[in-house]
Amino acid sequence: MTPDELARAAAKGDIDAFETLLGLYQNKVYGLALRMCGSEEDAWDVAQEAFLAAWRALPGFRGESGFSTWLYRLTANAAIDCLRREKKRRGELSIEGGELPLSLPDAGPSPQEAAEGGELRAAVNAALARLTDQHRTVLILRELQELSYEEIAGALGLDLGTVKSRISRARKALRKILLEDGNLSGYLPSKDTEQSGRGARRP
Amino acid sequence: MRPCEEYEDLISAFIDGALPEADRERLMEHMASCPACQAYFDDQVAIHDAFVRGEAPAPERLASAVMAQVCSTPQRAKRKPILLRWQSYAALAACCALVVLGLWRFRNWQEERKWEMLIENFHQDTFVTTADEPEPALRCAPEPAAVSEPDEAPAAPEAYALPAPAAGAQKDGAETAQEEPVEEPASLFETLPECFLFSSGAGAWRTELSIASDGSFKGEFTDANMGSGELLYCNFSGQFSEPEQVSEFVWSVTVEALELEDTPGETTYVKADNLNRIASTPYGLENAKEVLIYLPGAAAEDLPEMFRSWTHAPSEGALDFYGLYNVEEALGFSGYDP
Repeated sequence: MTPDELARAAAKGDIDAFETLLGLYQNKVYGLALRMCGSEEDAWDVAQEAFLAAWRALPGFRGESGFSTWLYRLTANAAIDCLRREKKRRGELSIEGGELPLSLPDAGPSPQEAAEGGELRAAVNAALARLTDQHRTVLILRELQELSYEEIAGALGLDLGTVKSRISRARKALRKILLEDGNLSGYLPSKDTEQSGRGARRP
Repeated sequence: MRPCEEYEDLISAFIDGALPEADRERLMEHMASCPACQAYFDDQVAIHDAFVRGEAPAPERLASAVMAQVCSTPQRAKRKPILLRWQSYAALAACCALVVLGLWRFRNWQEERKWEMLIENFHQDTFVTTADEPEPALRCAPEPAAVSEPDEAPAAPEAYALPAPAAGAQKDGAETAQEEPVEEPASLFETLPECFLFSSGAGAWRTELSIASDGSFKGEFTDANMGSGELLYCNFSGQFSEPEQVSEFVWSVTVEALELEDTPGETTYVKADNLNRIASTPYGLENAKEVLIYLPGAAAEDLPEMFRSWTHAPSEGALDFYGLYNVEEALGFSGYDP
């Protein structure tokens, strides 16, 4: 049975079909939750919440976007809610732009990774946690979960154009953080340099 | 947009393998003469390569923990299906039903609900709806009453006139709904304004939509092409899904059913007004799959540009009205209470 067929069965109350879906998607859902929330405890809650929400709402699921996209959306929403609660608890007024005081998984490079430029890996992971929720979410979905633009649009309820431009902005913001921290060797071009399209090539 | 910002977007698309050939050549040409963009490109490729991909394995106990909850959690009751969530097998029933519809369309909402329940017996509920496919109704719609009684045609908009009858409809709809097991009586739909308007503000056309407390909706599109003797119209109705909260001020619904009263293209000459009424499509909800509901307080900068453009919402600050956004078509409605 395909995932969508399983979803149809689960929508009619077939618990076994739902369990099969759970087995198929638990790593993806948990991985997304972990990357978005940054803590295993929150990821555990978010993943459970997402699956439970899926179970409850399946009878009304129309299957147009595909089960996985829909499930991603539930997961992303649950994670965003979780982050929001977390920030409220820490007394932050702004939803966006806050830094997460947590280390993302895979942050520590192995000796082999260090030899292969693992420092940048660690830096990218750390910088990711400092992006706004919006930027971090699209980059996680695109770069780590490897969703297509269409899938991201479906998962976040955005139009394609917004997805493309948001990913581009997120990449720009990520590079800025890495440059400021000295983790990239490039230079920040001045406005005039950009406008004239000329400038000294970096070493 | 600064000159190089455009290339940053192209670089991003390039990394995702989504850059068309022509743009790719343009980008390469530009980078050959722009060290800043070349550096940006190099950095972005390095960052892209530095992401650690792959799945994070879920803890072993996750599945059993979820299943334990699933077994004790009832699924949400499926919405009472409405007329046209039928598959092709129901086309015949739909034709018969729609003949009835022609006679019934000026009656009140309560009667409509009863009638729906009657024909529901034909309905074997299905998982996937056919919002994208031509509905049987469009092919089987009865001859409009106005053909034989042209003078009655102008009355049609009255039957759908918004929002007064719709306000009654909401109440009646809610009363009927009480007969059904309703999980969350205080639904988002009850809090919405009576009417949503989709219009450019400058044209002679408008689409008005009224959503009842059970998520069913009725609407009317009109476009008076003055001087041409033509009036485009579309009376439509349908059903939104149970709303899902996306964020504090944003909810999402999907269009579970959308029914047009008359087949687009059908023309009725109305002698009294010397004009042709031409059935059209539900502009604003056409092709809609997902509709986002924005509540007052939503941060304007988070809202899609097209929504702001259609509804003249401010570009910053908090939204001060309810909005609907047809995600598929990037069209926006603004809510108001007349």
